[in-house]
Amino acid sequence: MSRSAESALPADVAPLGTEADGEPYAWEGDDDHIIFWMLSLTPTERLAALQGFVDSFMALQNDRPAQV
Amino acid sequence: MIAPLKFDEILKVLVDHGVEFILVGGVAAVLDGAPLSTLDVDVVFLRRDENLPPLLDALRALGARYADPAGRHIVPDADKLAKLGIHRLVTSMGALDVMETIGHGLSYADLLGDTQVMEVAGVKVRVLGLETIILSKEQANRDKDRATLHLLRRTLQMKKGPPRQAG
Repeated sequence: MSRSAESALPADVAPLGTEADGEPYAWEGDDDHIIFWMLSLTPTERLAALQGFVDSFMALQNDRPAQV
Repeated sequence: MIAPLKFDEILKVLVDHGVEFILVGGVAAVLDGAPLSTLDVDVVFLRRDENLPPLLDALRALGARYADPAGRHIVPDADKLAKLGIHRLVTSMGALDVMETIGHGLSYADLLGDTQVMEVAGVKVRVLGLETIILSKEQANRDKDRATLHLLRRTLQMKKGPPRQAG
């Protein structure tokens, strides 16, 4: 994540309106990238992302029975 | 074959039947921005007499039955909804847990203050906020709850605070 992207974070990632007065944090890595991405989505888009993951998981489970 | 799981359809049926509920658990965390995955829908229902008929109608519309390890076909009814606090169900749209409380006895009334109504896939759903989701998972303290706490806390932190400037 570039410095400019980090700087743009507060305005972009709080669409649901919690107060932006918490403790500052330092960028930590991979988890932060996906959280940043999730926070950029609307609730409907977030649910669609979850649904897509679950659909993929289900398809894999149904196509490839577990090996014992 | 694993049954399909359709989050939006489960929520739509509950809302369309006028059930008073709060969406909690993993789906609520996702809607509030946490990058988690989950394979069920968890809701806390308002335990009042007038809320039980619409809840029962919604569960019937979803074809709900209890997730019974013995494989028996046990369906929810008015008596069970009135007496039991936890209903772990399998529906035609996926797994659904309907609970009276979460954590250490947090009820609908206890949770209501940290909820917001979100429009999701065309329906308005009351969703529990991340702070109370974290609290409930800390209280439940199961392995699967502890496994998600880092991401939940980090998401809450990123929602609340601006990044610290390096250097």
